[in-house]
Amino acid sequence: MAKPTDFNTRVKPNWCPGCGNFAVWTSLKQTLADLGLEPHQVVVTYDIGCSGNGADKLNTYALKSLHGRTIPPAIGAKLANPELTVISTGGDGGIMEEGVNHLMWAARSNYDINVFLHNNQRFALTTGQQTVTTKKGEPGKTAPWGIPEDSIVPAHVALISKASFVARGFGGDPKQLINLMKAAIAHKGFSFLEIIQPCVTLNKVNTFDWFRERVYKLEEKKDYDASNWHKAIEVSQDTEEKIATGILYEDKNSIPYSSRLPHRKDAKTKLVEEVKAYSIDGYIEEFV
Amino acid sequence: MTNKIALKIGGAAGQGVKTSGYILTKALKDLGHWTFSYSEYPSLIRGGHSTFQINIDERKIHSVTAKIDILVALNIETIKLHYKEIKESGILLCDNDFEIPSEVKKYLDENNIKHIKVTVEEIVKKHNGKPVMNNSVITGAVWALLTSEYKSLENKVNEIFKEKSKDIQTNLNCTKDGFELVKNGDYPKFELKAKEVKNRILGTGNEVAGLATYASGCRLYCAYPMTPSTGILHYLAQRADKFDMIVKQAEDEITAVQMTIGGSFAGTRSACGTSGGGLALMTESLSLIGMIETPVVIFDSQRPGPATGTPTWTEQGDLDFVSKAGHGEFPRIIIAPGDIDEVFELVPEAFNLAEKYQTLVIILLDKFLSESWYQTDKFSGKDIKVEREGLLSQEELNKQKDFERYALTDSGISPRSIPGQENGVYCANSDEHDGKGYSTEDLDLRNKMMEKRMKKLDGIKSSLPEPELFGDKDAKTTVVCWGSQKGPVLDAVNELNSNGKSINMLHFSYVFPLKTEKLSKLAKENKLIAVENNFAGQLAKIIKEEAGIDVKERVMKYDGTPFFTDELVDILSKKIN
Repeated sequence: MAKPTDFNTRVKPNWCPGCGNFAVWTSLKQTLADLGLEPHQVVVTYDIGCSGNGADKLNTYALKSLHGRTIPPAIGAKLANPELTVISTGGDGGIMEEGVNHLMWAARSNYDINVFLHNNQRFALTTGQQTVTTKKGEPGKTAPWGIPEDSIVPAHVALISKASFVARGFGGDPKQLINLMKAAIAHKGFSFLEIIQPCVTLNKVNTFDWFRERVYKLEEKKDYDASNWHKAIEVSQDTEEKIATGILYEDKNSIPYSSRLPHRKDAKTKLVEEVKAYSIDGYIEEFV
Repeated sequence: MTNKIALKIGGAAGQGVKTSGYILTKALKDLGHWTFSYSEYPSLIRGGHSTFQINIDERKIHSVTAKIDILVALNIETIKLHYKEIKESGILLCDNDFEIPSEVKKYLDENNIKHIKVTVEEIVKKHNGKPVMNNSVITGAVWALLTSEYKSLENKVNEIFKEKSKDIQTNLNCTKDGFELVKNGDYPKFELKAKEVKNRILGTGNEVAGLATYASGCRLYCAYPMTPSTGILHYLAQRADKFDMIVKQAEDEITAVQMTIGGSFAGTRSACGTSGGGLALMTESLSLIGMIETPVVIFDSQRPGPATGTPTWTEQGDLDFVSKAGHGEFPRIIIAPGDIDEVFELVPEAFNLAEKYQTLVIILLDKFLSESWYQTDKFSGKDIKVEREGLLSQEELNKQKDFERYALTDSGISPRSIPGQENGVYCANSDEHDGKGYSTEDLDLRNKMMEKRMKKLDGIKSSLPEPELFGDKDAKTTVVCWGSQKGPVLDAVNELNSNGKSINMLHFSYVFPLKTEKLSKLAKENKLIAVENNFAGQLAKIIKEEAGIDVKERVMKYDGTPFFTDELVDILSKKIN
């Protein structure tokens, strides 16, 4: 059985000291080990940015794509080999801006993949410009007088796009984060997990302490019903005062994409096992 | 009368132009005659003008002519637009109700063109048919001009209307009456005889590309609809259950190519298809394919640009673009099949090459090849081989000490593992990387990795075949062409040679990288003429770059139509040495 350390590579992490990425990295290694997965059974795709710099620091099959394009190759890999555990990671720049369409369509298609969004409310690697998750009015390098646009709640985009599992975790609470990662992976269908992951260097407002004072756990709310989509929209709305973490929404009857294809739902083989020359007999007759 | 016939049907989109043309083409094939059919239509669902042209010949043909023997007009518009294309002593066939403009009448008289008026409405009324059945009457009437063998047509009307219409019998009655009317009239007839012919097929480039993709073991096809490539997506999507493939209509071309990359990375054969605009969106991903060395096959069915251009017309305008598309430098292979036989042969080859060299292979089609109906001898598909060179088995991986997916090798080709395989874990990294795929900014290693990737080009170049020479091998004039224009050039060259001229053609199906030995030899003694369906002479540019040969004589066409055989015969006959 693989231990968390078996998911280390020889490359040492080089994120800024105290970066939220350390917590995500450690939590993911623990999650994979706890689930009894071996490095070769897992595919993780990466975006560009600080989260993407983790591509060679986690010992699994990895595909570091282009900016905004972490989700579609994850889909292709999962369709090709449904036995793989497929996780697509990226930041708020890649997943919520450059490639937000992929998030929406992947959610509505309900591919059985897991999208882990690292949300630090900044384009960090390009030295700290505002993103779509930065609070309106906050000044920054490309908006010295404050960002004029409204911010968008990532969970809302996932929810309106029919994601069948939507959760929010916090880098400052690895224990809960590991549980959420496990729940996301266990969910059959598309899972979206937003990880609040403060940038210690370029975001002096939304710090670990700032979040610690504001987050609360839905699992501690006895009356919270995660099957209620409208409730999920409501509780995920607040990103400033009382910030909900935990499973926001889950459709336990979700039917993943491959099971929606009549001809593939009971497939005994995987696409990767089916590559061979196929006879055209029976099909060439259509041309006669 | 001659057995070389050109027949054009014209009407408004939605009037059944394509249905009539398709039925006639299939019936002619069954009658044992070679055909080539080509359609022109606007980018509209209804209305607008569309045509369907069938060229009929005693030998195999792959092109249409500009001049026609028979014009079949389903509306007045067709007559006004095309009457000058009718040859001397040709035929105009239409509804007897049509008011023929005086200038058309004058042209018909001056050129001894027979005007056949068919009492369409009367016949349809007699059978209590609907106006949409007008074209059945016309189809029958045209058939009587071609042959007196009714059976082939009847079979095809039955076959096609079985899917399209609830009222086959009325359609058949209308067709039969149209046929009888002309058959019994005093009109010139071509009297094509039924020939015993077996094992011929009729198909478009897109349909054959779809079939060949399946036969090659491709299991995942992703695309966003874009004319004229959509036919491949349709063909595969409609047979996904039988083929047991996943055929995915993605939300955009970027997704399509990235899903394809993911599928291929995971180890299945994957492909995507688009036209020039969609390929432009995929461009950044082409560069990723080069960097992470994942095999990917992409179909680009070209149409006239720039921008939206003329979406339903044809052009060979993307060669320059696809030969360079993508930032940075990486090896690629571009294949441009000349006809459906080559599509069937080269698509499997494309998949094998992509896996062997772990890189991008682009297959260039265009509207002319994608959507024209070619007739050829039936494919067996028995020779198709799926070669997955470089892919390690689990046993081979077990023997590796510290597996390096991007190991430096003499050929530049490194061993490949796929997710799920033990001992094969690596990072397919868009950043420059080391043997494991881990990011590096070690400049010496950067050089080595760049050289490793680019070295694959040497292997590619040495393994690709030289272009094929057709026509009189001793001729002193050589036409240089590529891709879909093989058909028009070949038909023109054959005609010129049978008329006592001496000319040959060198056709490139592998257009990048370019094999230039044969061309260089010919260039020493022969006059070279580039014939290309674009403005700049894009192959000629690559020839200049790769072989230093300046093909000065150029015949370029970029109005959205392919080269017409008779047009090319005229142009080339004046240029022959």
